[in-house]
Amino acid sequence: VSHSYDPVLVALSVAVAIFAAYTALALFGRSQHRPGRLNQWLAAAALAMGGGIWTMHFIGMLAYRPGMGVSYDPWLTLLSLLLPISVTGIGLYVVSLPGSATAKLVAGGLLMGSGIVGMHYLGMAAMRMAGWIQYEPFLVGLSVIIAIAASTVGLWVALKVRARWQTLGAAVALGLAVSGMHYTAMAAATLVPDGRHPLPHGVGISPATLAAAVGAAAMGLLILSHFLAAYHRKLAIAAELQAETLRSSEERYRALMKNSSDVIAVLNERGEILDESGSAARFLGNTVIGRMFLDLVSPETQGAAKGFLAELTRGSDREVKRDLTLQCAGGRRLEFEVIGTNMLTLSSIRGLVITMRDVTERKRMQRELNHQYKLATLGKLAAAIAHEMSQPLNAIRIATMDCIMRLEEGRPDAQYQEQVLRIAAEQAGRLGSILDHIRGFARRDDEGRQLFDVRSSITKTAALLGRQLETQGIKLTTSLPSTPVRVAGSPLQLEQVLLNLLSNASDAIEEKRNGAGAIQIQLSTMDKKVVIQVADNGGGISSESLDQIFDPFFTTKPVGKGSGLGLAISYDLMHRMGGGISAQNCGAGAQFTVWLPCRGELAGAADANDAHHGS
Amino acid sequence: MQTTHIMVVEDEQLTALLLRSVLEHRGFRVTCAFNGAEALEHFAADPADLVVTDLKMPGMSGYDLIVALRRVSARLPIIVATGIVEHGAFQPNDIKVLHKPIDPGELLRTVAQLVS
Repeated sequence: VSHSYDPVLVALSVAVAIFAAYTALALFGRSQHRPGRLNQWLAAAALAMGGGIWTMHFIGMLAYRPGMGVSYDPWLTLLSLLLPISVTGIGLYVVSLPGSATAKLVAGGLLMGSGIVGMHYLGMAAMRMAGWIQYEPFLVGLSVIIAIAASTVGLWVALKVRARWQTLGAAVALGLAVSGMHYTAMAAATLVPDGRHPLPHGVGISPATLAAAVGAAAMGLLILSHFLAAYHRKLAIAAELQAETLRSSEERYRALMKNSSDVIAVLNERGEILDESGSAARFLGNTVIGRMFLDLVSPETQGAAKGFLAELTRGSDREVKRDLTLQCAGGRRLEFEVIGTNMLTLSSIRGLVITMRDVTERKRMQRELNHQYKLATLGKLAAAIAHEMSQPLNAIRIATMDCIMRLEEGRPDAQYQEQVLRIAAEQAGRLGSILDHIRGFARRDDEGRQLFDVRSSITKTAALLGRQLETQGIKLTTSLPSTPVRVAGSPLQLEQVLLNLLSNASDAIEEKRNGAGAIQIQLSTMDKKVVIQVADNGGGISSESLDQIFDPFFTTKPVGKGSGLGLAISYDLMHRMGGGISAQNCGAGAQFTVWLPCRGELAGAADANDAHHGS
Repeated sequence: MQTTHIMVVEDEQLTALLLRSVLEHRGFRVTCAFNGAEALEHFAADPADLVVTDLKMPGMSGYDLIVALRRVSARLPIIVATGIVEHGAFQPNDIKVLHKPIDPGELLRTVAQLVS
């Protein structure tokens, strides 16, 4: 029988094959975001590829004019649609599994290739006509080889390609292979008319119905493709949005960090600066990245900086904090509060993150405030000091001048002279110790930290103010342990705090003017703390004042009497020594509690040095 | 001539001791009291011809002592030896003020001036 092909439909069949291959490859590419998993993308890819092969086949069949009436068995036709879809699905799934690429491709290619071949010959078997089909074995074999080879190459391409043009190229190759196989197989077939060959019973699908089914399948492909495109667009918009959000958020943080007065830097464990916030330029000059952090620290705080890095690198969870002086641009030296956090194990940072805040001005004000307070307190204490000094001075003057007078009167008395000179020398010594105390109190610089016995601070303070309190009719009693109570810090600063508390207590008692005044100082240790309690019977503190008494410039005293700085400075001094101060009402008056960390007798000098670095 | 009796009122023991030595060496009889109340007690038992007193003392102060002494004897010579600068208004003829630190020569001259 002479047969022919409709060239338009043949071209259409090839185009459909390419289109289906493209859609399937794109869908498969999407499914590879979660490889080795059965998902809707893999299923859609199988649907596109299997359905595409089937559509291509039947468009090809419609293009074929066998020269005799042909219809199709509906069940076999349906089977010929389901077979390539499922086999393609299995093939794609196999190649998406983890494992050797070659093994996967061979298995997948065999599966898919035989699926395509099976589809074709099933489709051919579905033909109903008055005759039979004769196959040419060589061309049949060739069609099988083409199907398997095309499938293997197709799957290999599906695994490899990423770019859109690559997918397009692969789709053309795959589409041509599928249609090439079809037309090779068609060439292998010869329809042999046979009048004896009866038409099978039952309803056959007419070419018109087939055309409709093929059209529907092609529509299905189009819809799949449309969804894919829509998804791609949505994805692209989402990615764009996300990128934009990220970009603006990063820009915002960059700007924040750059304009922040704090310098944020990331160091590696050797102390080399890997990155900084951009605000470093203002203080430290332009290029700090790549420099060693220690090179920025001025010599006097090198020790503290080394300790800081060592503690930070040791990898504690908590923040490490130090006050360091940094060599800044233009030869300036600025004081920074440096806080470090170990983020070496955090994958997104892998470094030591340090935040540096310029506290030069704050420190200067603090020192100024402290100094002013000292002056104010010194003025207030001037009367007490004058009284304290007038006694020994008086004794010295009387003794020495009387001695001179007796010599002038010509009645020298060696025994009397010696006695009087001893008194004078002793009193001069007493004056000297008072002077020492005043000098220490008025000193501007903070004294270095040392280990000292709290008992001697209390005794000294009590001695300095005792006489004045006595003349005010106030009884000062101290209750001290018999063994040394050691703390690390500045004894003069503690004495300053105690002086302030005693002077406040005496003011409160004097203001109350009611019965005998009494101040009790008690020293004890509890929970690794050294606790000094100063209690008076001066009437106590009102509850609203209790909340504010440690605020600077808060005072309950009459105008001109109190600076409002005493307790604020005391609070600051105690905290800088690692301790604290609190107030409460107790009995007939106020009770202030001052505490410091206990150092005991074992703490050595090195320990005290450490404490200094921490201040 | 009868020995002049001077009472020294001073809370600081060393000062009291030294003043006593200065005055006794020049032939005065000296009694010491350590505050105003004690001084009044001594004065009642053994009245002095002159009183040298401090102002700031625990218990009864020098001011209160002077007021009390003036009630007993309006013309008793009193020397105030004080470290306090603003010591109130004392009548200059009745009371002489000496500032600490005290010059023993000045004290002796003032005593001589008041008892003559």
